[in-house]
Amino acid sequence: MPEEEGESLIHVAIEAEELFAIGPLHFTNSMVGALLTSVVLGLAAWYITRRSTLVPGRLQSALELPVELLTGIISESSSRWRGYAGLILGFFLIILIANWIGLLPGVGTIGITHIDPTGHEAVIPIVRPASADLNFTLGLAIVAFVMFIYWGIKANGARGYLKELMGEPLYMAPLMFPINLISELSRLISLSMRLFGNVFAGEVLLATMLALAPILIPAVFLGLEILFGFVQALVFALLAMTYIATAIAEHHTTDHDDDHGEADAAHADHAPAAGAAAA
Amino acid sequence: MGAFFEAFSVDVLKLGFQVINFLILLYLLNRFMFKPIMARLDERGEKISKGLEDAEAAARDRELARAEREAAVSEARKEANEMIARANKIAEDTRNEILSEARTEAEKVSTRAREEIVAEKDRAMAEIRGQVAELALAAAGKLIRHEMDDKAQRRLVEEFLAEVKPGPTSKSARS
Repeated sequence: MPEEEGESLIHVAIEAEELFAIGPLHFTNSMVGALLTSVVLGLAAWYITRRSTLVPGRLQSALELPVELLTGIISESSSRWRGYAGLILGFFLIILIANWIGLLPGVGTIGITHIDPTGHEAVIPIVRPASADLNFTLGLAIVAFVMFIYWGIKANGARGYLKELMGEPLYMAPLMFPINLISELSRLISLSMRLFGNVFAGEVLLATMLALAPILIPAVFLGLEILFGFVQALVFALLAMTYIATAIAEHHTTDHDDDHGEADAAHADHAPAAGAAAA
Repeated sequence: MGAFFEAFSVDVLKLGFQVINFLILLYLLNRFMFKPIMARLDERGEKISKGLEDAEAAARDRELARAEREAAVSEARKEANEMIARANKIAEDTRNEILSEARTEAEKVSTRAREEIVAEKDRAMAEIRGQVAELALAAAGKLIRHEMDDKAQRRLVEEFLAEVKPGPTSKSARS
């Protein structure tokens, strides 16, 4: 009996659970988390547009701080950072808020009681952090994947990108092409699985600690999860940034110098940074 | 692969929902948050660097003004010194001139005075000479009680005086 009780308390499903269905779309609790993320960030954006002044107040400073810090990092990555800075900032903030929503009280604990086919009673949480659902992390990884291929083709041309996949020298292509292809695709998997795994594990950890000791000890892990949520958002954003910067910088100096000579001239001071990223 | 996705309940619709939600949010954030903030940061950076530049320019101007002021002051001091020297020289010259003029004037005055004295003495001498003649006549008349007409008497005295004249008068005029 106590064993069973414990089991039901620690229950965290590996997949996002369905709350209701609209036609073919199964509306899951992680979608609620994603929408909640949208609302939080939408409010922040609304605040920025409505109340922003040149000399910032406290809240404005707090909202500008992550943008400012991350922009500092992004601007070092390549000479054309302004093109993808918004995407990287978006990755960071959206993942950060999606992760931290899992730490709010009630998330993962308040839910609808549901009796599954085997007769066990289970609680389906109404809100699940979006990043604890592979749909969300894989979706973001696909966006990142598409974007760094897009930037690679934009910077070096489709042929330049293919050449990069073939590798040098050309007679090694039959061997190198599959390897490079797998390496590109593996980024998709590593990005999505890393984020999903960390946040999901965090949820499990929190649920476990909550089941073991209802007060004090979970607070320690909540603090840790704040840090992990931040680190995972940063890792995802910076990896995506590095992939894009590398895609831009590859064959940058040999193949298509003329295409972005102007851009280089405009950001001449960033050129060494781009070279460093390429190296 | 299918089993893997099923285990995580990944399907196209859920994936699509998350991607679309992400893209919409990304667009909104870019439009209403990142762009304004970045513009604001750029603006702020420009303002700050402009402020620093202005401060530097102001300091440079201040330094320039100080140097100018000092130059003007030293110039004015030099000029004042020159003016004082010139004034001193003029005063000295004027004094010397006045002194020499006064000296010549004094000399002139003293010469004239001496001449006047001499003339006065001559006139006095002539007057005295006349009176002495009359006195001598009266005295001689009384003394000799001798009747003589006026004309004879005067001739006699003038003859006498003409004899006497060259002696004492010429002597006194020379002294």
